[in-house]
Amino acid sequence: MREPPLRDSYRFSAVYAKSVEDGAPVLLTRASDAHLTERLLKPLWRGGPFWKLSLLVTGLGALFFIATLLYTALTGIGTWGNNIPVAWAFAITNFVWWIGIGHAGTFISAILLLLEQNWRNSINRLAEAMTLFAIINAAVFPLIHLGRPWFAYWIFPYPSTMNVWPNFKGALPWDGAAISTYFTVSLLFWYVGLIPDLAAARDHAPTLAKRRLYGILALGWRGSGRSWRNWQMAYLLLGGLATPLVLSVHSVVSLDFAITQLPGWHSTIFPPYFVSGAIYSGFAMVLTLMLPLRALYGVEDIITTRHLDAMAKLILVTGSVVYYTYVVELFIAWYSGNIFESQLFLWLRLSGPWAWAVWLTYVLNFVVPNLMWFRAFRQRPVLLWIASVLVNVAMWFERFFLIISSQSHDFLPSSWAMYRPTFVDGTIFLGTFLLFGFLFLLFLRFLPFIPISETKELRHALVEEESRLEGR
Amino acid sequence: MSERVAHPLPVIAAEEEGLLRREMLELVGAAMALAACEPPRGEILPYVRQPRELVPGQELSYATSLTDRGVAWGVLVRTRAGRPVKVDGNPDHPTTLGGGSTPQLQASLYDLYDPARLKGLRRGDAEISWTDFYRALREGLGDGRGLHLLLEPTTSPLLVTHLEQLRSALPAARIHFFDPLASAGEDEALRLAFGAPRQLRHRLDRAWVIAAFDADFLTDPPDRIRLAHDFSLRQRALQPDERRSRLWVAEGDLTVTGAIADERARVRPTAIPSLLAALVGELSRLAGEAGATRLPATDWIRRLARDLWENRGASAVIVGERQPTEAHLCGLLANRILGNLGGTVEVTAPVVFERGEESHRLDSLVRALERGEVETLVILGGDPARTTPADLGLARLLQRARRRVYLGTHDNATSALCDFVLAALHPFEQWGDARAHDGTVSLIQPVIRPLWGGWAPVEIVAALLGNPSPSSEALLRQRYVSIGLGPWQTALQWGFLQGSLPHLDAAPDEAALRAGLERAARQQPSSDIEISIRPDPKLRDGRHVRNGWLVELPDPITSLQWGNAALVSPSTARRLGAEKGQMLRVRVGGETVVVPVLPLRGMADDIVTLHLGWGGPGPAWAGGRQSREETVGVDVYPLRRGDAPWIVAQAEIEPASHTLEPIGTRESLFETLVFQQSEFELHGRPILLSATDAEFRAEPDFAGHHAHPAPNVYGMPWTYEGPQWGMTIDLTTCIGCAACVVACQAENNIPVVGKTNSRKHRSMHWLRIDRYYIGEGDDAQYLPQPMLCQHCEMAPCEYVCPVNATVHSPDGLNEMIYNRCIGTRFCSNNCPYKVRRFNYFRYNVPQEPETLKMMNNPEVTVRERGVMEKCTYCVQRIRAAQIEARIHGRALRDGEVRTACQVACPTHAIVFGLVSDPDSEVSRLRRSPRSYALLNAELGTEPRTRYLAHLRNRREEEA
Repeated sequence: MREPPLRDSYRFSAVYAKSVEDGAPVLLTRASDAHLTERLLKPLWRGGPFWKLSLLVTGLGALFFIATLLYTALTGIGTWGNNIPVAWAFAITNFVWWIGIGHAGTFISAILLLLEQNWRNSINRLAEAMTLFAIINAAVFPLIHLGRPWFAYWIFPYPSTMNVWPNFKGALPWDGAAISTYFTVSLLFWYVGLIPDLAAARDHAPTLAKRRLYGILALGWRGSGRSWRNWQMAYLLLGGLATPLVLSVHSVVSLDFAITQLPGWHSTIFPPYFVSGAIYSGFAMVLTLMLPLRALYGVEDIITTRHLDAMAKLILVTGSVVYYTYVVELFIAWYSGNIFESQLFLWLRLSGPWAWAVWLTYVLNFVVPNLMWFRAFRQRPVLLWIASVLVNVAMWFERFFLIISSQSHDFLPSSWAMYRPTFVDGTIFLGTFLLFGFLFLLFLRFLPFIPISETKELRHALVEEESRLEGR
Repeated sequence: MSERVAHPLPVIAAEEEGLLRREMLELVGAAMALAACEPPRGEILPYVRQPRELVPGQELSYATSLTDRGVAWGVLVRTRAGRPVKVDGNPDHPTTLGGGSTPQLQASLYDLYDPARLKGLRRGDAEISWTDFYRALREGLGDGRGLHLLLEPTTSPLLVTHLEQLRSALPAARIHFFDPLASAGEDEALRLAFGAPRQLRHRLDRAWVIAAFDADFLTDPPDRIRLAHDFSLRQRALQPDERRSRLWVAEGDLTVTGAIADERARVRPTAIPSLLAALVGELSRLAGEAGATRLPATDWIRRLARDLWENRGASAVIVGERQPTEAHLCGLLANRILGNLGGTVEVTAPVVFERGEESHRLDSLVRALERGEVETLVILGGDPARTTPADLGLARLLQRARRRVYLGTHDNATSALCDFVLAALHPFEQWGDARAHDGTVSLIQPVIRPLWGGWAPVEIVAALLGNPSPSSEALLRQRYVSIGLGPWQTALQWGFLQGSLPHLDAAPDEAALRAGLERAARQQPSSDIEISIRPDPKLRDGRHVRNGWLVELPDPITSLQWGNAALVSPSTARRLGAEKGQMLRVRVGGETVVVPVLPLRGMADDIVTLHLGWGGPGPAWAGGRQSREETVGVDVYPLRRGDAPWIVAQAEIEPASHTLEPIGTRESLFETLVFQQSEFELHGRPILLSATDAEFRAEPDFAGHHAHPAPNVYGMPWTYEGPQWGMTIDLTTCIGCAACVVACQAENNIPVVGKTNSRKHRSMHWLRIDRYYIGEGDDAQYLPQPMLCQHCEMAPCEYVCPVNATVHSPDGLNEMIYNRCIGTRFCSNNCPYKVRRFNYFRYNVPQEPETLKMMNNPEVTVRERGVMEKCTYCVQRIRAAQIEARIHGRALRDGEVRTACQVACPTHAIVFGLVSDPDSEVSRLRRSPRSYALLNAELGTEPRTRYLAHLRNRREEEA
């Protein structure tokens, strides 16, 4: 089936009028519903380019990842570079980094839904899947990081026979609660959003087995008006429920550091700082994933430069908040007159043994977001992709120096000591990417990565708007 | 088969030989059959009635002795169910007065249980029986011609009696003594001055001014525990008006004594004699004596001389043992001028047998070996093949002896050259005696059945005398047969026989002293970079290199673990072009040693300090597994010459490419050195507070504002009721010897983690000695600060633990519940003192040999992998005392609970007790204006451990 030619009436639409400044509109295609459904379901039946090879590579990588985790659990985390004073190192850095990445999905799905930003419709599925997989990766670390991971469940308030409860004064039980809640709500939100598309997949499935599978997953969706109404309400409510979580999860993660009294950790600015950093890195990660996919699957008419533009602007906003925090931290360290704070920030971080990581972060996180002032930069996929990767490199190093340098150079100079990661540290970090890739490939193969129903809804809205304008 | 069943530790045998199931069943069956059929040899008694003193679960202490270079240390060995679990100084014994320890004393327990110890008796590689050995030993002895004995110096009356018997029974036999740490200078000086062998005994409890010249008297002499104890008596001052003694140190190396000196001069070792001559000149001038040699004296010497003179009779000049004769003569002269002889410096007959006499020189043995006159060479202890001066070539010459017998604790360079190798008993496994530094006869009684069999040196001498089955017990009883059973048992209970050597009140020969002064005054220090060789503060002459506790113990000065380094001043390092950790090639004569460099502020310029005792195989087990380290540290014995065993002026020194060095091949340069602490500057942080005595008088509350936290809106959320525990650590009296660190390790089952884990900063010490420079440049002091859990009332570690594994007890202890810990390590992150330790691996169990498990204190949990641990204030001792008090229905008494570190401290710098009792010693100390709480003003942690700020007693003079 050939795609019908684009009507040029879109040029008269209000959306278009608004988007002259921002580039192309949020949806270029005006193909029929049936055509869109068929097109977006195609990867489910045909697969994608290099899918099998990539799945093999990442699948083996995921197995290797599990092997390194087993090795660590059986031998002890002495296999890592952690020591005393640096008791938290790579694992916690990776944890914070992955959790941060997991923020963009829900931000896009929930907050932009509530704000009626309809450009989110084409990308929310992908962002949410990324969120889920990022949380899975992140959740591995607090678990494997324990000295005795087999007792990890003690962190949750369960009815223990000895009537012992976790210590609710500490941030780690909050962490456990926040992350598990976030994961659950994100999963529900994602799944609820999937239901109409699963039903579409059921209806288009080429084999009985697939029809059955998608049929079960679609939960008996029939597409009645009542179903749609209830579905939309449920989706909106879940969006409302997920919205505070976007803000709370990384706030709670930041409290792991802020409730301590270590210089460089003990700071009330941490919750907003971490949340903005998380959304910043999350958007970068969405771009990192979305830009190649967009080209590989040829969906530039559904994920348009308008999307790129909007996301780049959000990177500029959140990146500026992050950068502002850096400045405030340094200023307060000097202004407080506290010798431990000021020596850590102004001497040990800026010119100490971790200065390379600090300056790498400061420079990248200043330069990259500020490039987003330029429309030419915002709308060039290749440049944007490089920028998005650099953002996440910088954000990883930010967490790295933030976590390590405060521990390695704390109150008593006698206990100052350097940290050096080991081979196992490196392989576990690499392993998370491979597991992520593995899960993401499965997602691309078995679920529509662009929300079909929402794209169609968007098209309808646009067509209606255009007709209205034409009729005038 | 019966041989294998009879193996003392079949478990180990099974591991070694890879036992199969079939074999195992076979062995079990055979063992049952043998047990059923064969009666044991000798008489055994069933455990029908337990010994009166043995109550299961109760500990028993025995008084016995250890020796350091032959001199006795009184020790109390605490045993549980018949096995020693802790060693402490005997508080009544003159050498260990007050019950203090050294790291070596504490670590003697590890020596006992060391699985690498020699076992049994072998000839070549074959195990032989004692009877065979006895026959071979006695073969063709005749009048003893060709029989040479080489012993370590001894003070043992029992051994001395036997040696004298040997001399009369076998008149042609020759007896030699060798101690790698001995030097002839002091003996020679005393012989010249008093006409007979003498030794000095310093009474620092009587001294207000102490001047030490190249003398690390808190680390080196055998009576160092007593010296530290006496020294501390006049160091403490709670109030500003209390008088304190002043310590002056002139030295080249930075030592434990020099680091805490009130006034210190950096002087290279070869400049010490002329410095002493200048001091004598100044003192003579002050005393108005005629004929005083006028020497250009530095300002430092002039100030010292005035201080000494003002305190004449209550001052002491101490000259280091390794200094030449003339330096010691100057020291004697100074003490004579000051009227210190008989007061602060006593002269007695030597306690070491034949000290300073011919038998203590190796020349005659070397000559006899060279001429091939040695038929049988019996080496009792030590490792002479390695530790004798390299130019003697003893290792090569040993092979000229027809039969070589070695009695020692471990396989080493000497045992490899000997035909007969016998396992030596540990002092805790044998009977014997030794003299304390003041001559008091101390008794050695066994506290455990020999773990692997073995012999005492006296038993070998007795065998030479024709005793086919010598037993140290019988020999000892025979030696003291004049003492009745009752007094004998009392003596065993006390650990020693009362009675010490008197001061010999004879004036020294003035002419000899003056001659020494003339020689010293003429001495010119060398202009080259010189090598200064010292005994290692931990390993001494190297006898402890297998001791895991000592090898992993951070060096009290450098904080180095698992190795040694060439210490140089920063400017000398620049002059040599060597950076920290870079390899330095040191060549003396034909011998080369390659050793990593460590620049150290406080070292004199143009000297390179090397520590003896390193090199060779280290601890057999570490971190719960068999050690893979081939060698620990670098052996510097090859650099020693017979004529220059300590200070070598002619040495070629150059930086080496590290690739030539075997220990540097796999690791990067920096990592050849393993440190516990690597930052020694305070950076202006209020951590180790220090003031001069004058400042203390002017502002007594100089530390006070650190005692209380900054105002807090929350206040204390609860009140403490009942007995409350606390500790004070006096930074003024702490000398940083690290005895407490090893004591803590022994008491609390702290594992040895091995070199790799130490390098990764994972050593497990609950108590560590931090060191900081106080002051700038040459004038800085380098002060120790013991750091352990501060037991904060507002503990930062507690609120962050997600599972309540670290909580507060009602009596104010910060408790650690290992069973509950899941290992998040959050507590460690939030601990501002970084005193928490984490079990990154399974450091303790399960692969360890049985004997290392026997070493564990049954009162303390052995921690598993993945849990956090830290100082508990020895909670097991607190609870035991509480139970005891409750049984007797009384309240706890002050001093009833003493922590392991407190007991071990030779200067009583650590005091523990009830802070809820205003009359307790700890409360009294906390009320001192010097008392402060670390980081309390900044963080409000309310620590229960308080430090008493350091005082430096500078000599203030009007210009």
